[in-house]
Amino acid sequence: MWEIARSNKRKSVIFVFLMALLLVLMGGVFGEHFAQSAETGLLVAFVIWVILSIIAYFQGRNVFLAVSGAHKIRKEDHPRLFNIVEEMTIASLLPAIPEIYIIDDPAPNAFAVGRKPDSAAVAVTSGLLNTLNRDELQGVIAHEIGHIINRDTLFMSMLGVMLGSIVILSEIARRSLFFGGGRRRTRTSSSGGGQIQVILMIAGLVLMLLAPILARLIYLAASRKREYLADASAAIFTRLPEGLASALEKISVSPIRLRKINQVTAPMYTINPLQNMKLAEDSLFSTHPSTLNRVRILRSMAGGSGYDAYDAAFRAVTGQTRAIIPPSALKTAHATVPSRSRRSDPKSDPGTDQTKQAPSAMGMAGAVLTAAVLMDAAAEPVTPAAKVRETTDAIWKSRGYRFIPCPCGAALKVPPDYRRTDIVCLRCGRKHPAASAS
Amino acid sequence: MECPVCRESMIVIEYDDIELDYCVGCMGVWFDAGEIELMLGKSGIPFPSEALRFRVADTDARELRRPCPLCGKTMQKVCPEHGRVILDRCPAGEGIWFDAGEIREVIKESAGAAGDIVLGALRRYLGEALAEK
Repeated sequence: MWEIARSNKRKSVIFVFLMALLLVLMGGVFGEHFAQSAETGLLVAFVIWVILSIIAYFQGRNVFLAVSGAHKIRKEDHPRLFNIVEEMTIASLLPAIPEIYIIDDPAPNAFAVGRKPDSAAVAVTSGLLNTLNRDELQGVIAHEIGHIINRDTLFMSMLGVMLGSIVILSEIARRSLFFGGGRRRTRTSSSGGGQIQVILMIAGLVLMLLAPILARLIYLAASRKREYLADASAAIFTRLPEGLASALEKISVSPIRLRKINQVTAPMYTINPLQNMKLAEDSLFSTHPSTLNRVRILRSMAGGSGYDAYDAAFRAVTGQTRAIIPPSALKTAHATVPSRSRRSDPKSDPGTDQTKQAPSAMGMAGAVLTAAVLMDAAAEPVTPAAKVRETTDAIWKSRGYRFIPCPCGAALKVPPDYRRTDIVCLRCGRKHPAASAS
Repeated sequence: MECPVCRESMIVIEYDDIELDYCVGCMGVWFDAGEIELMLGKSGIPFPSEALRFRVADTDARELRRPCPLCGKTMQKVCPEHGRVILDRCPAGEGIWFDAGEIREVIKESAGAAGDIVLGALRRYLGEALAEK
C-alpha cells in the first residue's frame, strides 16, 4: 500500500526543490535590494522558514485541529464512526488507528492531519455525519486515510510552510518599499554597480509580485494530483467507488459553508470549502480537482476497485494520455481489486457478496473488514432526526458533558464544570444527584 | 454555557429532538434562535405565530441588562407584541432568555385561542415548569 507514497516522495522532492529555489532567490534578491547584502536576505528567509517549519513539524497537527474547532472523541461517544475508522485502518494496513475529532459545523467536510501514519488524526464535521449514509461516510474516511498512507498530510504541511514563508517575505518587502525602506544609494566601489542595482531592483519588484503566485501554483499543483490518488486509495480500501462518489456529490451540492476556514487550511479538506462548486474543469488555481471529474472517474471504474480500473477511468474521463497512478503501483496486488455491492441498497445481499469476495481480495484484512461491516449493520440510525441526535450527543460528550436520562422522557446533559450536587429536571421537577450522570 | 443571571453552568435538556438550556440555580430558560419555532412547528402551529412577535420594551430601566450567553453582547429588553412581560433578547439574534415563570406569564398574557395552542405546545415540552407554584 506504500507504493504511491514512495512514488510521491520522488515527485515531492521536485516540488520542494522548486519551492526552496524560489525562497532562496527571494531572500537573496530582497537582501541585496533592501540591505545591500544578499547574505542578510538569505538569513532572514532561512530563519523565517526554520521557525515556521519547527512549529509545523511539532505542533502543526494540534494547531490545525485547534484552528478548525475540532474536539477529540472516544469510542463510546460515536461508536459507528469509530467502527468505520477501525475498518478502514485495517483495510489500509495503517499501523495505528488515527485519533478521531468532530467539528461542530453544519457544512459537510473532513480532513486528515499528522506527520506520521502511526500518529495521525481524522476530523469530520457534524454536517458530514448528519448528511452521509454508512457507505458514503466510509468512502470519505477511506479518502482521508489514503492521504495519511500516501504521506500527503506531512508533505502538504511542509510545502504549506514554504508557501507561508514566501508570502511573509514578500509582504515584508512590500511594506519596506511602501514605507520608503530600501537604501537606493549605489555602491561606488564596484564599477557598473548602478546598472546591476537597477537590474536587481526590477528583479526584486517582479519577484515580489510573482513569487507568492508562483509558490501558490506549485502548492496547488502538488495538492490536486494527491486528491486523485487519495480517491484511488479510497476505492481500494472500501472496494466500493460509488460510496465516495455519492459522498462527494452530496458534499459539493451542500449550500452550507464551513465557518472556520481560510486559504491555508482549505486544501486539507475532502472538498475545497472555498472553491466555487460550479467550476466544472480543473484550473491552475484550484486546490482540488473538479468534483465533477472526481465523481465521474469513480463512477466509470469498470471491472473492479483497483488502481487499474481507476487509471483507465481517469484517462477516459479527463482525456489525458498519461497515467495518474504511478507505474510501480500498477504492478502491485492492488492493481486489480474486485468491487463489493452497496450496503445501503436494500436489494443487494451484502452478506454473501462480501464473504465471497473479501478473503481473495484483501486476505485477512478483508475478512476482518467484512466482519466489522456486518456487525455494525444494525447500528446506523434509521431516521435523519436520530442521526442528528447521535452526532450532537457525540459533540456534547467530546466536550465532557455527562448524561442523565429522566423518567419523564427528557435527557439532561450536564456540563463538566457543573458545581451543584443535584439537578432538578425542568420538565418534571424530579431531583437527580449530579453524580448519577454518565 | 453560562446563565446570564447567576453565572452558573447551565444544563442542556433534550426532549423530542429539541434542546434547551436552563439554569438549576434560577430556573431561567434559554431558547436558541429557531427553537421556539421548531417546538411550535412540531405541534402543528404555523409560524409566525401571533404569540411570538416582540417589540422593544418601553421601559428597560427596572431590570438589569444581561449578556447573551452565546455571544456576550448586552441583550435587548423586549416585550411580546401585545404583552408587558419584559424578556431579554440577543441583539445578534442568537436567542431569547426567559426568567423563571416568564414563559407562563407570556402565555397568560397572549389573548385568545392562539395563546391556548401555544400553551399546549409548551406544556408538552416544559411540563411542570409551567405549572403554577
